[in-house]
Amino acid sequence: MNILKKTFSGLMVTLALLCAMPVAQAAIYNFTIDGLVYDGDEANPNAYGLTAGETITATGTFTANLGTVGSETGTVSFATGSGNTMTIDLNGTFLFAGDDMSGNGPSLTFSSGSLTDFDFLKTSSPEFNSSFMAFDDFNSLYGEWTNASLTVVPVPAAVWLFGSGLLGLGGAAFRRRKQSVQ
Amino acid sequence: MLVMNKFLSGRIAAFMKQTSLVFAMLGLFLVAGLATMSVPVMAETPDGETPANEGVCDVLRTNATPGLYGLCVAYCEAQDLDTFEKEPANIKILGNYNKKKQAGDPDMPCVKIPCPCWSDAELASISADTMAAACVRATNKIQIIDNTPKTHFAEADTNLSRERCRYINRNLTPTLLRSFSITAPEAQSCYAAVASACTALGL
Repeated sequence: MNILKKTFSGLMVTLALLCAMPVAQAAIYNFTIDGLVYDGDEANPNAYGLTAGETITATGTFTANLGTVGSETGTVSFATGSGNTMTIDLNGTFLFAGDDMSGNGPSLTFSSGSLTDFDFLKTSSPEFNSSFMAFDDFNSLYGEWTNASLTVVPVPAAVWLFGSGLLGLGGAAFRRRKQSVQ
Repeated sequence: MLVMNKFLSGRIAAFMKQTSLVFAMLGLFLVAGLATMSVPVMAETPDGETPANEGVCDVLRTNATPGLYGLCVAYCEAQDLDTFEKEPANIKILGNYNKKKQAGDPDMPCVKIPCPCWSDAELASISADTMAAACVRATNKIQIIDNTPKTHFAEADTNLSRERCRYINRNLTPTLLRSFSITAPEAQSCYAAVASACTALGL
């Protein structure tokens, strides 16, 4: 009974601590960013076969502390080793974060929940260049990023329960050992 | 005879008086001409400081080939003026500097590097219409943009290994698009131009 009481109180303490934790924590995000092509291969063929009116899409996952959900602010790096992933679908040709091998690699910058800078630079063929809210291929392809959506990947509730349970059991075992020593 | 002498001396006196006046006028013209010729030398540079005072050529005061400092001051002062009349002289001064330059001497400071993506007129046209332009900044990057009626912007990135510039005008048919990877000095020049345009607009 004593052990049950202690386990329960340990669980309560853990849950209380979790609720009291500040909102600003690193979170896992999935993102989707759409881009609209304004100038494609009507005048000059581009490597991606994109024409005006077509769309391209960037998707991926990153972990970052961007503040309050819905008001995300900050810059996310997709440099090699960051653990963050990015895939850009240009009419069936796929570019990845690792294709940007210049400087610190690609990045996304958000301000109050809106995308303000999509930075990507690939200077080897097929080229792709993106900065602020516009992209091009250093030739005649031109388009703009139109829509960015972020969704937080929820941590399963079972994880919290499991963790708090472990903590509670651990605490109870510690006290038992302490009492037997005394 | 006496009458003749009197006549002649009178005429000579009148001539001398006239000649003095002529010389006096010539002297005045000479002084005025000298003053006019020296005006460009006394002309102020836009920021009121000469390159000699700004220190841009100080790197050449010591440990450089003698004479380079003076050439630098002359060249940079001419570059600092808002006129193009000195252009041929600038090229000559720059040529003399490069001839005199030896191994270990720095390149001529204050050589204006044009931004490869736009002309001064094109940059100015972004804010030329009465529609509001905006300036967007990120780390070592800047953009001046006008979205009305269609996208029209100039931007520069000076980040290491990502140096690039871009000029887009969708108001033209076909769209005018210039997008280049550029050198670091070019990127600095592009960045400075956009930053200056933004500052002028209070953005």
